[in-house]
Amino acid sequence: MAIIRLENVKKNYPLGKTQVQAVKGVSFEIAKGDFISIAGPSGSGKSTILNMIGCIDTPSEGIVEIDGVAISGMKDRDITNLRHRTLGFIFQSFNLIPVLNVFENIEFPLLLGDKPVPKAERREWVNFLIDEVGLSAWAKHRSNELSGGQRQRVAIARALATKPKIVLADEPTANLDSATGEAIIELMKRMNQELGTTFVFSTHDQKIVGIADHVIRLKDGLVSENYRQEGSAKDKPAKESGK
Amino acid sequence: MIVLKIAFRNLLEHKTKTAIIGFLIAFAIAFLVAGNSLMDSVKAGMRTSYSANYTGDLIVHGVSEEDFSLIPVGPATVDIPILPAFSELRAAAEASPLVAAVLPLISGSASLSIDEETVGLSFLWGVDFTDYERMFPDSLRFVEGGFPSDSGAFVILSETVRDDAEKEVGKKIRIGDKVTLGGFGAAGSRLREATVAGVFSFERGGAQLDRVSIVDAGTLRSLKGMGSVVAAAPVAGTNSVDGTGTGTEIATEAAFSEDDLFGSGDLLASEAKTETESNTATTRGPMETGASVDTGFTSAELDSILGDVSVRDKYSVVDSSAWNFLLVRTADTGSISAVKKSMETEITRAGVQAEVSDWRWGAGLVADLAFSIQIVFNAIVLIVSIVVVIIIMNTLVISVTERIPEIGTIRAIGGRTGFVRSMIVWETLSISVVFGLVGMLIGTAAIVVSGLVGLHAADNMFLQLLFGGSVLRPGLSTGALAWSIAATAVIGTLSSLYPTSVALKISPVKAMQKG
Repeated sequence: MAIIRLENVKKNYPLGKTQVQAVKGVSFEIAKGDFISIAGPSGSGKSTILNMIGCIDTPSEGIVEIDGVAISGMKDRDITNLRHRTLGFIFQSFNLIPVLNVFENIEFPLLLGDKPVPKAERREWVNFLIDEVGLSAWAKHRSNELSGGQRQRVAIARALATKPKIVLADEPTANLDSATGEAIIELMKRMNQELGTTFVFSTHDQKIVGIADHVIRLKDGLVSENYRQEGSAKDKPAKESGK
Repeated sequence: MIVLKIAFRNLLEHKTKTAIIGFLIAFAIAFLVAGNSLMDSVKAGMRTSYSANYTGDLIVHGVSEEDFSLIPVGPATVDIPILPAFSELRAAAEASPLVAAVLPLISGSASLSIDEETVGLSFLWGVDFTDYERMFPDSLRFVEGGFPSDSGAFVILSETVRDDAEKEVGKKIRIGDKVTLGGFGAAGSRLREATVAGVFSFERGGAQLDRVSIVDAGTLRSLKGMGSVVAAAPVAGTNSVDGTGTGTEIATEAAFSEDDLFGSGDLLASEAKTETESNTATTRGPMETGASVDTGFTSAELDSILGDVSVRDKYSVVDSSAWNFLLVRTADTGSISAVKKSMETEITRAGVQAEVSDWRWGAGLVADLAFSIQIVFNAIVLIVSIVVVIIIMNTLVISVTERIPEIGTIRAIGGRTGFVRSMIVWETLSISVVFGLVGMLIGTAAIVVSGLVGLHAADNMFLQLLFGGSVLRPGLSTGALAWSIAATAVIGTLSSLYPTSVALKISPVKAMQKG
């Protein structure tokens, strides 16, 4: 069953008195547990599609379904709950809370939900994530004391804190050098394999694209390619329905 | 609580911004505490000073269309009404167990002459000296002499009036000297001689009170023509001696025509004839022209007419029960309302036009001035508060704008609008509370130091009026502290409204903005 489904999704933005169509009718499905790259050059619509999958932007037309729930017409509170429960985010600029240390940043999403996680359980899980991303020695440090790669590791751990079904990463390696970027993608892939979390990341770096199991290429707001790569960890059929 | 942790750490993280906002809040609150405490001290000082020394707690007085008060503010041009049904009202006040003392008082003004030379003007309070001493035992500080022990025409001069008069006349005024007081009332000008019994200054005076001298009630009543004038020109029901229209009946001038008093052409003719015929009567002025006119009066008849001073005497009759005011000192300040109510009931029962006012009315323009200054001060506080709120609001909006990606991230990873709202409100409230307390401490310290050192009015008449004396020792007002706490909450809440609305409009998609 697809955990993400887009059907003829279009997105228009006003630009002065005219409308610019950033996404011109995209359809695809992503299976649970996939490690997917949405690739394409700048302006191809990668971020717009990622925003709609992340429920932080809504389509002008078409259907976006996350874990079987269509997001159109949902109230802000319900969408917020859906994001908190189902989605994790990794941002290009890391977007850590500057006044919180590594541990607190990772713990932060756990403190936002309706159902509080017991402190001991929370502490154990956060420490596990810190270990997984290799930052045990930096747990009490604030983000301004970390390198870019370390910050993105914190962001990955934070994205996984609520045990989401999907993690979305918008060009997670764009602000990192290539070696660090590859290491980050490897870490994401390891988490994908260990935790079974679906990872969707956008990139225009061909080298990074090569690590993904499933690639959706965009060009000028349309899907130009949708394919599985040889040697991918999973071997699931990908439905191609976009242009 | 994570929201508090973020709020506090953000404040510490942005020290300059926090310091700017904090300084503004502390300044506004310190200004509020110190200013309101000062104003409350001025009012409390005035109240204590005036009620204990000049006005009592309540003042019963007549009604006039013109404004008047116990303490004059310039040469008395207003004819202060006589208090109607005085005897009944005094008896009622004295019978009340809640009343500690009463003082009947007349207010007026007179010129002061020495050796037939006018040397100044003084406001006058006409009293029974014994009653005055009982009512205001600590009011006066005698420089020379004291209250007269005998009855008669006595004046105790204000030190300021005495000093001015001595400068004018060029000689010392001593106890026992005679001074001539010149008054002008509806019955014409009057001159009355009084003996100087003492020279005093008010313990808590001021430029206005320093020109008030105290005279025996009979002399001032006579100077003002109280009683005869009233009887001479009665107006239905209000200005007879007791205000009821049924008081002491005194012959009115209407009973005598001008012709009766000064004669007609016939009288003059008769006078001329008398002079030429008998040479027993001598006239002056026009009569000396030698015009021969038959007046029809004999010298004996003229003597009879001109020697008759009954009309003049009737004009000079004063009503010893005529007073302008009845000052009432209550046993304690908690009884003021009850005594006021009972006196008003008494006025209604007597069916006269009179009112019961408090010290503020008695202080007249002086108290109005203090209250007006408080209104101006409050307006300044309001303006300062608005400016502070606007500056804090703008600073917070800038802060929110700088944190758009952070707030967007919080929203993206599941933070609700309520969380963002709490974060901004807590930041504003915590900074308001901390620096509000600092402001309160600064304001309190300023008032405590001022209270110890004392604020000196020096020769500034305006400040003397305001301080009710030459020195004001302000005390911390609990009301001012309460106001400052309320102001802190209001400033904090208002300042956070707009920044919060800006923060709540930040979409989660802003988190995706490339940093």
